[in-house]
Amino acid sequence: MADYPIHIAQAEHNEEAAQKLAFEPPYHDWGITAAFYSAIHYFESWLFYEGERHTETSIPPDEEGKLKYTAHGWREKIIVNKLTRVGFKAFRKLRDSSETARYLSLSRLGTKSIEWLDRPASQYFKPQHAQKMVEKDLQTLKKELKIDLSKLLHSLKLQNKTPNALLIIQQILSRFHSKESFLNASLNNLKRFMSEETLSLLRNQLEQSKESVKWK
Amino acid sequence: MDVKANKIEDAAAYAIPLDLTKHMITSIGLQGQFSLVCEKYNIFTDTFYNLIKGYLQTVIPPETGYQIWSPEDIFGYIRLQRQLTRETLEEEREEEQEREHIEESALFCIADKYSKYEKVKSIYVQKYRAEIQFHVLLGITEYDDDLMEDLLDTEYDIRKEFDYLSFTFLYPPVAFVDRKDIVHPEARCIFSR
Repeated sequence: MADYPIHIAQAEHNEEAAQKLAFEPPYHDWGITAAFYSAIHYFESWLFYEGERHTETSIPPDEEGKLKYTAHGWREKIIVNKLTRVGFKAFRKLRDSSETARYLSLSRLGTKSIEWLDRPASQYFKPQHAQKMVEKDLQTLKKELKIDLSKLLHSLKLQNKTPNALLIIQQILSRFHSKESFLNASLNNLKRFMSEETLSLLRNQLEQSKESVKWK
Repeated sequence: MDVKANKIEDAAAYAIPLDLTKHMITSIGLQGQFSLVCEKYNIFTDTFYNLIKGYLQTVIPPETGYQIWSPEDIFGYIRLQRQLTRETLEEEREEEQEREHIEESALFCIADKYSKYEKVKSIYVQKYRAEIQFHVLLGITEYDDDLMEDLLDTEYDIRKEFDYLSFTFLYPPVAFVDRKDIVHPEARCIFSR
């Protein structure tokens, strides 16, 4: 299973591809698929700092020891439990649209009397649909997953400085909704859950990263 | 052979000779020799060892030990185990029926929620592992973002309302659908217009 930086790198790579493709009709339908695969990796990077760590290794087994859910099913269960309605809808829209863009039909339901869509995905989705999914839905999801904050925290390389790095990052991610809210937090707020030693470490690392913080 | 054993259908129960009881009690204290005793009387070692061990652990207080041992006790214990097994199976069956009833109620409630959207032509459902997979077929020829927003709002509400069940949803577009066309044996139509 990939770790946080690999998921972020792949998510950003896919997002760049999505940005290009969504604005290059008739290939805009592939922009939707690239956006979905970007969303998957952003989600997995977020999950890395949650208790589950990875979707596929956290699927619970049933009484016979078999996996209880599909990876998609389990991921969406986590999303509905941990994200807001807005975040849930953004992710689901990307997933469902990418399924339609790739497959158009569901052969397992039958073919005899179902007339599936009579046009390719590039006609079913207009370029503006794909662009909206990349520029609005994917960005909504990224915001909800606090990608800017987790990227900042990961860039501080706390794991090289303290054995409690994972715990510190998890604490900050659970208390702040964005990079800005963390950097502009009050000192008193931070002292509620961080020791002087940890604060000092964060200050030093942020200074090296040339990030300005209100509580410095 | 004890005549009482004939009244018990359990295969593990009918092979207890009366004169074996003394040996069995001795053997409990000498587990290493227990297999020899069972071999002598042509009895499955594991079956009897577990039965007697369970009997001693659950029925006879440790301080009294073998003093209250009797064939009636062991047969009583076997009967009790059989009764408990039957009750457990019955409870499991009832739980399964209850779960199916809850799922069926949820399915109709969900079908009702989606039926308010005119563009929803039919809903198919199938079970896979612990998931209930919905295919909500849409009668549209071009992607409709407003419709998708509404459908996902409904989906979110459903997932929250029935959070004890696990779902997946897909919304494929179709030009025409006939509900009789079901290839997958476990997929069934719960709504069609």
